[in-house]
Amino acid sequence: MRVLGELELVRDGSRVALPASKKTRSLLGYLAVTDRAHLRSHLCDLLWDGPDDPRAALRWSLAKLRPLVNDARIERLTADREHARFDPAGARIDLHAARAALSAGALAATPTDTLEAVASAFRGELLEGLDLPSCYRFHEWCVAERQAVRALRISLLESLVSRTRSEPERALTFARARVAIDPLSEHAHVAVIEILGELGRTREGLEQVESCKRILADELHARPSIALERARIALTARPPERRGAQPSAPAPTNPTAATSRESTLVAREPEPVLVARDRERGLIAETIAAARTKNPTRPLLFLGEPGIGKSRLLGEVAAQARAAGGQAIAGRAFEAEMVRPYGAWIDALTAVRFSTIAEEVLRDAAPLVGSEASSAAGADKSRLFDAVIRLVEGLAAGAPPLVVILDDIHWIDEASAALLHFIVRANVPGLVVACGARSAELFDNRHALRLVRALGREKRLFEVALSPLDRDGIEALARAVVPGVDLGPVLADSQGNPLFVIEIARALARGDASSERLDELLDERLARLEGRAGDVVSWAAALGTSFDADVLGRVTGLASVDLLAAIEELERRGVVLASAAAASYDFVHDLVRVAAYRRLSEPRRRLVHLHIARALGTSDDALAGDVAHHAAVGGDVDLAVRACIAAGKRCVRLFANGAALELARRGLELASTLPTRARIEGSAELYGVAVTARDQDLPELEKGISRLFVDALTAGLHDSAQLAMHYLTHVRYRSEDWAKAAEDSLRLVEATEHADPASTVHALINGGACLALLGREIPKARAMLERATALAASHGVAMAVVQKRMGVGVAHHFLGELDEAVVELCETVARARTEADHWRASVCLSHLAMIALERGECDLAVGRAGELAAIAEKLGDGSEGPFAKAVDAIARRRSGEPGAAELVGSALEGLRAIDSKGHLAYALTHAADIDLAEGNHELAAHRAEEALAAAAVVARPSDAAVARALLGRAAFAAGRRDDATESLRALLVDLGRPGVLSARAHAAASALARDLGISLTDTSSTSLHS
Amino acid sequence: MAIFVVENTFDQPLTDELHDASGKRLDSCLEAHGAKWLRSYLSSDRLRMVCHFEAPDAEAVRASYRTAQVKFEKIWVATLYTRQGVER
Repeated sequence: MRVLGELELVRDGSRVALPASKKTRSLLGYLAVTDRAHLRSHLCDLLWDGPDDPRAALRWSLAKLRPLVNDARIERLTADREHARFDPAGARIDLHAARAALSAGALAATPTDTLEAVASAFRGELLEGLDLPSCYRFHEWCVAERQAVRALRISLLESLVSRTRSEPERALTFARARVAIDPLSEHAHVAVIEILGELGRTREGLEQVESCKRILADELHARPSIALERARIALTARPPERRGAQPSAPAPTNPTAATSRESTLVAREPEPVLVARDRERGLIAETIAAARTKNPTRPLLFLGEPGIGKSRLLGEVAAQARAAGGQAIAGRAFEAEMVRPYGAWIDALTAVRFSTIAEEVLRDAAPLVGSEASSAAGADKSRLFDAVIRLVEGLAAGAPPLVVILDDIHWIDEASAALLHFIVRANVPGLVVACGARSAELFDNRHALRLVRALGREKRLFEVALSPLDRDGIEALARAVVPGVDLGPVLADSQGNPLFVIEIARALARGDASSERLDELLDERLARLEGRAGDVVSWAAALGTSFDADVLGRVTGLASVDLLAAIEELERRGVVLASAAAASYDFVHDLVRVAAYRRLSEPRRRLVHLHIARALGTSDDALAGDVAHHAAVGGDVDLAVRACIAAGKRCVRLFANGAALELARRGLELASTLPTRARIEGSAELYGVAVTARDQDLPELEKGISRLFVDALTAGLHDSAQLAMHYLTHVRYRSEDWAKAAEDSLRLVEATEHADPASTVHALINGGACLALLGREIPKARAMLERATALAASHGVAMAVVQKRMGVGVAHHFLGELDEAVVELCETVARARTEADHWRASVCLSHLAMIALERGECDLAVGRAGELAAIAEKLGDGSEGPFAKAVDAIARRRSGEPGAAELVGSALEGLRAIDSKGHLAYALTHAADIDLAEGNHELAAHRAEEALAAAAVVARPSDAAVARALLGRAAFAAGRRDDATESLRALLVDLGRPGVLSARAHAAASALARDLGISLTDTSSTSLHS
Repeated sequence: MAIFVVENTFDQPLTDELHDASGKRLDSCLEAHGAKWLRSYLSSDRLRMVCHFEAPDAEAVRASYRTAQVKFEKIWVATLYTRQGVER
């Protein structure tokens, strides 16, 4: 078994195919490297922390592995009810052999040739490619183990350098390999420089000096030490370079540069042809034909191993759709670690021109069609999904069939999967959905698995498992790629995998000795890249399967001319393809990207990722998920945490709560390693993300935030403590334990500012009054105000009585306790006047005027408006004067005064001019109510519509609800009963939540229900939904 | 979100402590109103200040100042002109 590099099993000289599931391979690697028995529960925690039945997943993996390592005589993989272990039983494991040769006692006695053989066993990182960042325990183990193996390899190489010093050419190979493993080691660079000096290759030596200096400065911000300077002086003191010395070798940190001398005019590698696959082509043709006549179709899901031709068939779906006069849009899922919610959809939709789609639909779908300017407040996920359905319907109706292609859905994120499911269930006429996935990796992604299973259960999916090409297929494909190619090696080695067939045929055409392995063929192909393309391809590989040319330019720091030349070379060589999105490219296959990425050593990878993370920075939220990944791999924990916060907030905005929670968890894990202050501040924000993303694990959340709160207090970080308190209150409210929540939040406020009860009282009153004025969280506002009163009494501190009573009065008004409200507000006006607190007096008067209006006491309302107008003059610039005019005009209009309609119009104009949307929404709803009573439905609807928009902008749910109810009533009066019912349905959710809507909003909804002949008490389910 | 400018003058030079205290009082109100402070310009004699906000409406800024008991002279909605163009 080989673990030093990609995991490989070799039996009787030939490689044994391993299960495609990454976790299953990781399990084998883990058991082999650790070489002891493990509890099943430990293995479950290690690799299956999350899915519904980890033990079943472990059983499945063990069952897949047993036949590979056991045989009739020897049982290497043993498992009982409790434990599982891998016993080599005579099988050779490269890592164990290397450790034995290099153990403290054995090293001196081991002959140099043996050491050299051991060195060649290191083909790459330990268990290369088996990175499972979402399995933290395995990831941590893997990182630590790789570190240890790297140290082992370094000591081996150092030993080889010193033993072969008398043969500088031989020593140079080892010294260079040593630098490649750890380019930050100055000592390793010095060894290379000294050996180059001995060989008389001064120019190369000086280049190495420069390269080392640059790395030290860029990556460590360090200056070179005296050792490097000595080596440089020794170089220049030598006689000039020998004639015939070898040409300059590439800097050791760069991947091998091109050696090919092929003409630069090589034509671009052609698109692979589609051979065989008659059955699949027939299925595609049937599906397209059905969609063209607007019959419903089932989504196609092409499944199979990497390189089997899934993407090629998806391309065929697109081609057939276009040939039938339709169109295709395509996106691919991003690697899980990037966390890009709706990534595949955004890719697909941003490339489309929506000339025929209504602006309103585009506004609702804004987050997915290229702009983040979402519609008015109140937008939600169902609105977003509805908008996408309407987009798709619009496109499909215009030019059917419309094909939506999503590739690599084994990596799909939760949000994209949910949207895909939603669209498939909508049965849009003329739409074809086609996806590709690696079958085995579907098991590693629960969102993908859930989606596929759900669609399968609903009989809405056509799963097409792709089998290897048969002999005829292989021959046809190889000949199509390279006419006249020698078919022998292709038939012998390709195993019917089309990508492999193409690579072998091309290698034969280049005259390369054909390798038996696909990855080696890809490596060879990449090694032939010319110019800067060889460097650029590794950076691009670190960026991901899809990358943006601008971003690539930023991270490599290359001038546009050089970058374009490199990308052109990559396109010409069939390494990357321009994608549909502007200035964006895709690797032709993910295996090619993996091969390019493999060319970077682990430390070099860290540097590349670090550099990418820093170059991307945190300015672009859309890339924050990528930055979090790159910074975490690159070891910049602080940046990774900040990026997790930014990416998490963005996910919440896009309603991708699952992804937001994943980021919050990842960020919290990372933050735990930061110094105290950064840890606490970062964690507070990350808990904020988790809370707003509606983490369901409330007890766990509460525990974490409480702990953070105590830590923040201990560290004297009061802002973070306040924030923690704030989120803790949210959690309590989510548990719908209002009283306990209020009690807790108040207790915590006190704890935070225990030393200063006066400021606690002040903060509670301000917070409570503020919420009351905004008409939000009224139960909480009340609790805060009551607590402030009690606290002020018990500590004997002064209280801002006017502010507090204003808040109490406004809360009474909200809840429809009008008598209590009038008493409280009248007394507060009097008190505020004596304190010359004009603004609070004006607020109380505004509410008194509103109450009079709502009670139909028109004369009283005119009187209150007069008082308000007088106070407004003292206040100067503000909304009070215009609002007084509006109340006055509405009251006069209600009492039927002639000419009052014009007054209302001009008063509304005044509120628009002063830009007070809350007041405007309130006045508009009254005006609309009067219009409706007078039979003027159109004007009523128009005003209610404006009120709804204004209330949404300033997030006033109650005013919005009144406006919506009026819209419904106007629709009903105009004979549109369905629209009226729809309006009531839209109100139901908020009506059912206590404390969300004001008494006035409830009354407006009841009036609408009455119009419809429905009793609001039983609207919850049957009557409206039937 | 629109851009708003608040103008202020003071009888006494504004100290950093006073500025921070008003800022703290304002912040929670602004947040509750969906508004955000962007930046302020204080004259070198510390007697004049112009503050720059982003808010859903002018009332959000006005109400925040009044709730937090921070004085202001004028609040107006602004159009931003930059080299890149006009932002309304």
